[in-house]
This record gives sequence, structure tokens and C-alpha cells, in this order.
Amino acid sequence: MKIILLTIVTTVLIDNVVLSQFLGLCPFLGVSGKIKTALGMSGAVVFVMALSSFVSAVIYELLLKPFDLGYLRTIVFILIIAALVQFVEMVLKKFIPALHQSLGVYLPLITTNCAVLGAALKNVQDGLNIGMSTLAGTGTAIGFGVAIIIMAGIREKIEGNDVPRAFRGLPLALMTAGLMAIAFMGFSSLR
Amino acid sequence: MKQIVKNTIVLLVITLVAGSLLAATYAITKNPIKQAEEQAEKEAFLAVFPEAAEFQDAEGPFHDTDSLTVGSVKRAKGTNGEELGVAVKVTTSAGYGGDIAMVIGIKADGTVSGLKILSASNESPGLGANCLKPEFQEQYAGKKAGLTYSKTGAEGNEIDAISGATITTRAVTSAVAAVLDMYEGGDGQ
Amino acid sequence: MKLKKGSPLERIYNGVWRENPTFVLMLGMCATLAVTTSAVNAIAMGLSTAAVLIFSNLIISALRKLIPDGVRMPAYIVIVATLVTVVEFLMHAFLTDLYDALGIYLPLIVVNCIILGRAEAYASKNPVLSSVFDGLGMGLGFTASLTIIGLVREFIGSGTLFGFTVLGDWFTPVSIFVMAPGAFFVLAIIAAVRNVIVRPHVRENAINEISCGGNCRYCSGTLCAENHRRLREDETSASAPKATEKEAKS
Repeated sequence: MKIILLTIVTTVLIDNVVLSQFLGLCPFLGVSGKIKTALGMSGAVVFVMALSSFVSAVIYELLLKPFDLGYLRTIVFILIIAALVQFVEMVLKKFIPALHQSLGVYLPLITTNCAVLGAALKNVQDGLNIGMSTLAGTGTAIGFGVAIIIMAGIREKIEGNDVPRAFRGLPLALMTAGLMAIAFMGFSSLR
Repeated sequence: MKQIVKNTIVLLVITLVAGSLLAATYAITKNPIKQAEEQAEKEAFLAVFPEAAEFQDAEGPFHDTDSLTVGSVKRAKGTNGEELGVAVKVTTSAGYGGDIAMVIGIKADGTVSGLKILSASNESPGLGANCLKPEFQEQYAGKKAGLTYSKTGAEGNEIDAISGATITTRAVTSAVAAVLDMYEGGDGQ
Repeated sequence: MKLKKGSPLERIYNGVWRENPTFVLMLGMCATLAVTTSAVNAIAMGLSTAAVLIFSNLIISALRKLIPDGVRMPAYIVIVATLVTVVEFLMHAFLTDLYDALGIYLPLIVVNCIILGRAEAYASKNPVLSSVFDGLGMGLGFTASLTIIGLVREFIGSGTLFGFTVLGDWFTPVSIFVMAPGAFFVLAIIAAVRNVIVRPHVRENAINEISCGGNCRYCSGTLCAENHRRLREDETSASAPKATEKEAKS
């Protein structure tokens, strides 16, 4: 129980995927303009990342490791993620159209979201088993969601402010991210 | 239909070529990788027992604890085969950002012969990562069981804490203390 | 400067200066921020990426007429992932220290926008020689920018350059610059400078090639709006009957 809680706190807050690992920055900066889109993106990421962590852990444990094919993991994982995204999109479209409507546009953006591949690779590197990999992957995705939703909230607030011309757009977003990263550093004392 | 067949064949060929290329690279680099790792480990053990001529695999009184994972244990022998002490590789998970790996050398009289921190890549650069500096690691030589750290100038059996990185100092110091305790027959807690 | 389009020199000038992947296109941010804690790490990451980029451009350009459009993306991903794994092995075997320092960011070169972006935007449409030099130029541009960021962060954050102490004991390193927030701050300043100096130029001349190099299906960068629009147009015109069918369904 303790280890489960610790894994969740670590992946969501302490080692936040965006603010301390720098993974998934493109969507973090690109889709954080509005809270609504940020919510959609986090939903899609949590969904895909939980699933992809599970599937890649299963394939690694049952297929790659027993046959000493660990060196194929990067190539296998990225293909799993690409296929999974396509598959999830088709399934959602067919069976849960309502969910597809809200998440659909974000799904294709996830394939080269480095956070998804990063989480799968990190699980292998840390030697986690299938259950823990899924948990860590889900936690990482929730961490992404927390970061991007907070970011969107802040950006909606400062949107109307009078910002120096040079700092409009990306620079301001990066500054905000930097300040958030400082705040998140405080969580490391939870460890 | 024809298009699908063509697509499949092209993708299959690319994947096959890619797979065999990877297998070849793996086969070629397997031994150099192993050698590089062995070399790195040997250098680390030599760092804590510079006068040793040879290291033999050994069983030690060391065991894992909550935060400590024990790696290889080696007995250091001098040029004439005399016993110099024992060196043990441990990884502590109590660092600021996670794992810190180190090799600790213990002389026969139970004092530290040397400490070599192998990796502290999760410690904050400029703060905790300063534990990789020789000035910090050299302090441990000659310390004995029950060592602690101090933030206000070390005396006796104390280590000078790295400024701004108490957690890192504590992690390293308590790992050394636990290993020394186990060496003397304690449970390392 | 007037250079013949597609010539080796033009491609290198383009990658290093005119369309510098970091400072102008703002691609590959994850790696840029994560590994620039020191100049040495930055150079290692830059050169690994450059090596992958040159070879992926070479292979993809050579195979551009053989790979059918339908499996373009998966084929590119397989090629890039293979190259990255090869680089990973070579680093592990011969440059173990750097391999440890780069850690998980080395395999993540696969999803670096620059690589798939250049494959899609340049190598898949241009002859081998130009593509190789495009990769070389972009790779050098990426390496140079990472090194500059690495030097700035290392200098302020630890008072050293390439690992050598250059500032005496009187200097208290501003450690935050080698930690996560510092990376964001340094990049924010760079982006601000770029907003003033570089961006107008990009806006006028090179919009069709900027931002993920047209690989926008998989990217969501802020600069991509224009490319997203073009991509949609391309798709609609290429598969017109399919698109209308989709619309009818939804």
C-alpha cells in the first residue's frame, strides 16, 4: 500500500513529467491556451498513457525479455503507441462517439508526445513489473494533466494583461512554466 | 487491394532490414558494453583501495535495508596477497532525487578506507551533485561506525554537510554508517 | 547571401542560421531543456541527434520513391527508431559516461520533432545529396544552439565552462539555472529575443517550412496553425471522396 501511494505521489507531483522531466512540452505549451482544451488533452493523454504503459509492459515482460530482445524496445514501443492511438480512435468512434467527439482531435497529437514513449521506457529502465508500470504510467499522465490544467488556468488569467511586446506568446508561457517548476520543486520534500 | 499488398511488403522489408541491423549492432557492441561496465566497476573499487593489486568476489555481512540495495562485494588484496579490507557497492534510494550509487571501502580495523560515488544523476546540479566532488568524498576516509554529519563545521567522527544539500549528505552518510554497522555485526538500521 | 537552392552550402546555412531548429523553429524542446545542464551534455546530445538526422535524411531520401504514401509514417518511424537504437548502443559501448548522463533522453531522440519533421518536409521530396546536407545543417544548428544554452546555464548555474571552473570562490553559483526552472527561464529569454529579432523574418519568408517541418499531424506547437491549415487542405484535395464520406458520416 505504502509503495503504491509513494509511486503516485512521486509520478504526479515530485517527478512531474513536464515540470521536472521536460517531457511532453509541445502539447504543454501548445494546447494550454484554454482550460477546456487542456482538459480534453489531459483526458486523452491519461487514457492513452495508462493503456500504452500497460501494453508495452506486457509485451516487454512476455515477449522481449524472455527472448533477449530488449534492444528492440524503443522501436517496438513507438510502434505500439502509434498503433494504439489509431486503435483507440477507431474504437471510440465506433462505440463511444460522445467521448470521441471530445477527445478525438487530441488523439493523433499524442503519437509523438515524448511523454508517452518516455514513460514506457522509464518503466523498463526502473525495472518495474506490469502492475507498477501501469500505475506509474497513469500517475505520469495525471501529472501531465495537473500541470497543463494549472498552466491553462494561469494563461487564461494573464491573457488580457499588458505584456511587453517581446514577451507575448511563447516567452510568457515559458516564464510561467519556470515559476510553476519552482513551485513543484517544493514537493520533493514529500519523498 | 494491390496497394495494400505493396504497402505491407515495403513495410515488412524495412522492418526486417531494421531488425537485422539492430541485431548486428547488438552483437557487435555487446562485448564492449560489458567491458566498459566491468572497467567502470573496477576503477571504482580501485578508487577506494588504491594500493590493492587484486579484487576477489566475496560474501559479506551486508544485506538490503529499506533504503539500501547491496551490489557486488569484493575483498581487496595487496601485492603480496595480504588482506587489505572489503569493498562493497551499494545504492541508496534516500537521495534528494532518487538513487545514489557508491562504493565503500572498509579496512580490516573497521574504518573507511575510501568512498567513491558512482552516480548521483538525480541530485540537483550545483547542490546535491556536489557530492561527486573529491573534497566531499575524501572526508569519509578514516571515519568509523556511528559517523554523522554536521552543518556547522565537522569535528571528530563527523562529515561536513554540502551547503544547501542536507538530504544528499544525509543519504550518503547514513548509507556509509549502515554499511559500517553491518560490518561490525549490526543490522544496519 | 545568395546561394543556389538545395546546394550543400545553402542547406548548411539554412540549418545553422536561417531556419535554426532551436532558435527559429523552436523544435525539439524536450531535449533542449532536459540535457543542457552542462555544455558537454549539450554537445553530446546535439551530435547524437545530428548523426541520426543525417542518416535518416539519407535513407529516407534514397527510399523516397519506393515507400508508398500509405505507410510513409510507420516506415519513417521504424527507420528513425533503428538509427537511434544504433547510436544508443555505440554510445553505451564507447562513451559510457555520456550515455549515463543523457539517460532516457537518448532513446527519446525518436520522437524529436526535428527528425520526423525534416524527413517529412525535406528528405521525402528532395535528392539524396541535398537531404544529407540538410540533415548536417540542421544537426549543426541544433548542436550549436544546445551548446550555447548549455554554456549559459553552466556558467551561471555552476560557474564553470565545459567543466572547468572559470569563476573564483567569490562567485556563488545561481544553482536554479542548472535545475528545471532555470531551463524554462533561459529559453523564455531566448524566445523573447527571437520574438523581436528573428520572427518577423520567418513570418515573411519561410512559413511553409517552419514548425515541425510540415509534420503537423503529430505536433501541436503554437506556430503550427498555418501548417495545420495547409495539411488539411492537402488531405482534402488528395483524398476528396474519402473526406466527403467522412463528413457525411459525422
